[in-house]
Amino acid sequence: MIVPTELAKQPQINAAVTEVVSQLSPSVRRIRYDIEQDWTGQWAIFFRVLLSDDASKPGNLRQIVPRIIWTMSERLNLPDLGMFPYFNFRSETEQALLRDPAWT
Amino acid sequence: MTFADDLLKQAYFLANKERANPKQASLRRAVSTAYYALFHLLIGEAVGNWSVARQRSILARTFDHGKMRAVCQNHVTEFFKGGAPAAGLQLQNVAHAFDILQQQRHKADYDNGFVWLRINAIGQVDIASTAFTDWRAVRGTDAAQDYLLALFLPRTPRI
Repeated sequence: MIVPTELAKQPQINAAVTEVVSQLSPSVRRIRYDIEQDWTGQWAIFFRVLLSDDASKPGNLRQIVPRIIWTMSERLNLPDLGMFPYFNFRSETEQALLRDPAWT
Repeated sequence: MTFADDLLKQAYFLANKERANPKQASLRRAVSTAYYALFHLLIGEAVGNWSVARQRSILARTFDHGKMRAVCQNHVTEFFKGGAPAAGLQLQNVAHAFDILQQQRHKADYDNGFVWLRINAIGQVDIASTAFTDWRAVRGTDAAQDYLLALFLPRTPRI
């Protein structure tokens, strides 16, 4: 369940997602997210970041992951947002096998 | 090589352990170990400042995960409130990595409904690895030493 305060932040989050995908394309193919409580009960954003297979290669992953976290955090304006972001990653090949609708 | 470095190395080993069809046990332990690698890196650095060597392991056991996370979240928030100064970027990255990895550690250890895939597990270990690099670039600065002290202190003193 999303409480109204967090729901109101969705346009801000959507704008950040669009910018980050545009800036980090083609390594980042798309980003989806949910607003949920973290393990302490605080509201948080859980991003699902779909990466190209090339970006998912070991050396490349080490480069792109910090860039995604930094770029998204900068765009989100965390103090104003009042929530912290968390990130899960998946390659296109992994997603092709799973066909998980949450990642499409 | 420090204990923290060994943990980080082990996290990568676990994330890559099975060539195909990685076991959930391996990936979950990889993510959890990545968090503990960063945890032990920071508390090792903090207690290393204590001059009585035989007391360091006792001191290390007093660090509180929840308190450390709160300090890290506060550090990240203040960094952005302060205009995200370039000079503070690497230390901010360390604090943010700690917060992220602690959340993921809980998911890995307790949320059996979440399915870990290899790229995600390696990505989390990469977050820890990057934090190691960033920490070692700034560990001698006043800001980094103040951050270590804040991780340890039960509350922020009023000056």
